[in-house]
Amino acid sequence: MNYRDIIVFDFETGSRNPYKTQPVQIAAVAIHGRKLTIQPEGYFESLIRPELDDERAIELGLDPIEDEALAVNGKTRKELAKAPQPKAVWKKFTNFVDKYNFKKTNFYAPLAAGYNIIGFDLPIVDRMCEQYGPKHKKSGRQGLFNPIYKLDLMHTVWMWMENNADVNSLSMDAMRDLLSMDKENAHDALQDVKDTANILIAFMKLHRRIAPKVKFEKAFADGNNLHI
Amino acid sequence: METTCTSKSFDPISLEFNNENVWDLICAGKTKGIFQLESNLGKSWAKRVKPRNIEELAALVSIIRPGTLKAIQDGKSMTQRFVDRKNLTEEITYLHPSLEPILKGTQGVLVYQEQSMKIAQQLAGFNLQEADNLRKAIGKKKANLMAEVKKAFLEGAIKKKVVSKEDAEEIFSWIEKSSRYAFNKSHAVSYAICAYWSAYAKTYHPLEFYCNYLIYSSGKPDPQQEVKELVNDAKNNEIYVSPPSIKAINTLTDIIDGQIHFGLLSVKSVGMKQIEKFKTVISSVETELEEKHLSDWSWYEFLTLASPRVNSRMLIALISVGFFSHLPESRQKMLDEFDTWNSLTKKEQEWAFVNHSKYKDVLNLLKAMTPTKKEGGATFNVKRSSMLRDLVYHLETPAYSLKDDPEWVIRSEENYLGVSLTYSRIEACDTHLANTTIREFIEGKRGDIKMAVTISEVKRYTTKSGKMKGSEMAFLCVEDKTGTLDTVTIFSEKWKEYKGLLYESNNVIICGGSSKRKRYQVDDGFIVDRIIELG
Repeated sequence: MNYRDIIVFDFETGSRNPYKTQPVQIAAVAIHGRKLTIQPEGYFESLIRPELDDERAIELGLDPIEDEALAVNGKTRKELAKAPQPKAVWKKFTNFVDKYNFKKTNFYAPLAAGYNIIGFDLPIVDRMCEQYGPKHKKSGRQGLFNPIYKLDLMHTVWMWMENNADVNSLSMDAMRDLLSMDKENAHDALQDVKDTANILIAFMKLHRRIAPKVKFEKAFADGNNLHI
Repeated sequence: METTCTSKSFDPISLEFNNENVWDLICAGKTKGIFQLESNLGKSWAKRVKPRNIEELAALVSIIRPGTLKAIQDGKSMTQRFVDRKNLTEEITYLHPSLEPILKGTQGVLVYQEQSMKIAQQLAGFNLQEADNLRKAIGKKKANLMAEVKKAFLEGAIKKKVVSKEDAEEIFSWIEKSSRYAFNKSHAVSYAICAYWSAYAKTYHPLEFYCNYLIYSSGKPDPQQEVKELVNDAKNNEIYVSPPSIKAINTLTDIIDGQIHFGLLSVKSVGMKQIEKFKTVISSVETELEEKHLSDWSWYEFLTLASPRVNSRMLIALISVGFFSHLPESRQKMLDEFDTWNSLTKKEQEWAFVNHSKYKDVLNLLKAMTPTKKEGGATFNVKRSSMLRDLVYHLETPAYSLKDDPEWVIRSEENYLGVSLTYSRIEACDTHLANTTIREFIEGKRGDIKMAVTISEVKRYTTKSGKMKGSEMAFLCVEDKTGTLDTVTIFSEKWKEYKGLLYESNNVIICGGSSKRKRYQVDDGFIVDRIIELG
């Protein structure tokens, strides 16, 4: 059933509340949905100019940019002041995602994927779509990604690690440690999405190896259990 | 530039039905586009029946109809019986010797309604009117009429004494059963003649054949699938179809300088009105540029001078299918710059139209436009100026690569044209493990075959008989840059093992050998033994 591509994306932001935060960077990686490989030329990255005037940001109903947040993602106010505005960046991002919607219909729209996107990044997508489009005609919700399926890698990781006594945190940094991934450039949006994409691909390949061995058909007719 | 799609002609009425090359084409099952025989069913039965004259071709057209295929007698369909008898693997028998002259032409199988009429005349002494009543009773399945005709048939048979009453009853019950499938012979012969004519056109005028067929594919239930099949079939005959190109703006698909070019109308999102407007715009800009032909324009000239007056959806479609592919810019870059252009206001576009010649490309033009009017630019206020600065930022530092990766080109062309013409998916893969191309296999190479292919269709099938009854297997249609093969079979065990790899557009190496249907002397099918996935 997976004949759609997957876009792993991540916002770096100036604060923590997804409903009021200002994104300062967006990055994305496109994955071929069937081959589970990163698409050649399938990378997106752009800085986003936030409202750097705190009072003006509050007037607009947004959180001011926090220095602590900038320290985490390594951005400076000076470089952000030169970045393009959210509307221009969002237009380019929608063009990028649309490139992987090969039938140009909602049904074939790529799946949104990322780490903790349900709780953080997708509400930002909803806000951006509300402001700049595209919006789904009937539901009024975001019309960029597939409206039904979303892949939050954090949920997958939780399912595999919830009973693992050696794992105390499910943060991306904890995952990098656990999987011995390079932490150089961590919290740069593009590096984060590349890492997320690689972990997602690894898990999906693992699922593909295991799934054919699981007996799903009529599994609950005989003792409510799944067997390999 | 010569366009010749309709300039060549031949007179079908004057053709005799004795051209060996035409019969060879039909017997080889190369019947895509051949009237009545273009389905997979038509192709496979043509190879088994191997018709060499109109009579046999008419029989072929008749026996591949659903009724005949489903009419089972002694565990065998009438179609199968006909073919087995034709290929001498089953003895031809007659219920009564008197039937031989009537049924000899169809291997002793009752294929046509006219044969039933003839039997009634010879065995029961029916006149033409009575025989026609029999045809009506058979064709229209009228029970009352059938009962009357049966009575008359038996009475006539007793009177004529050619066959016994018992034989007459059996023969009539056989005629009754044939009502489910028997076809009108005059109809079948007409079909066969049309089929021969189209096979003749395909044999001797292949360019015109494919070109016209592509034009009329829009009338098919699934035009994109039809286009795909035709283009792939043409590839098997070393005929390559090109996308619409700036060098030849033809509305309909046409033959230009000896090559088939898709017409603008073949592109999804492009309609007649848009094409007419496009042509008007091009000719007016050509005049403005002192008769500089469209093919000599730069992308920058097209963008600034013509694009504002052309339908956006049409232009996006044309860029995506490679209409401007002779230009150095990638399709992605053109789409990006067109998107940037569309972000300008009408006034800003007008400024660009007037001043375009002072700058060499879009980036420099936009840089000049960015300051406000007061500062010598083209923007109304600081806010617009800031927006244009953003556009310049993304032109200088694109957020994503604007190179055309083959996968994107393939998908775009499939979306807008129904088929990818620029790339074959398999070309991007390392195929060194393969030892045979599809064309080599079709041309007869046999042995341990390994073909690097892209899967274009997977048809699942549940086995209805034999040891593996109820298990799933599949038939594949695969393609490479040399052609397409739609006779690939993967049996249950291998299907179970490899089905995760078998999906449309996947690149694989199929290992195996030809299927040997000795009964029909046909061995062009391919049985899969092993599959290696390519990256």
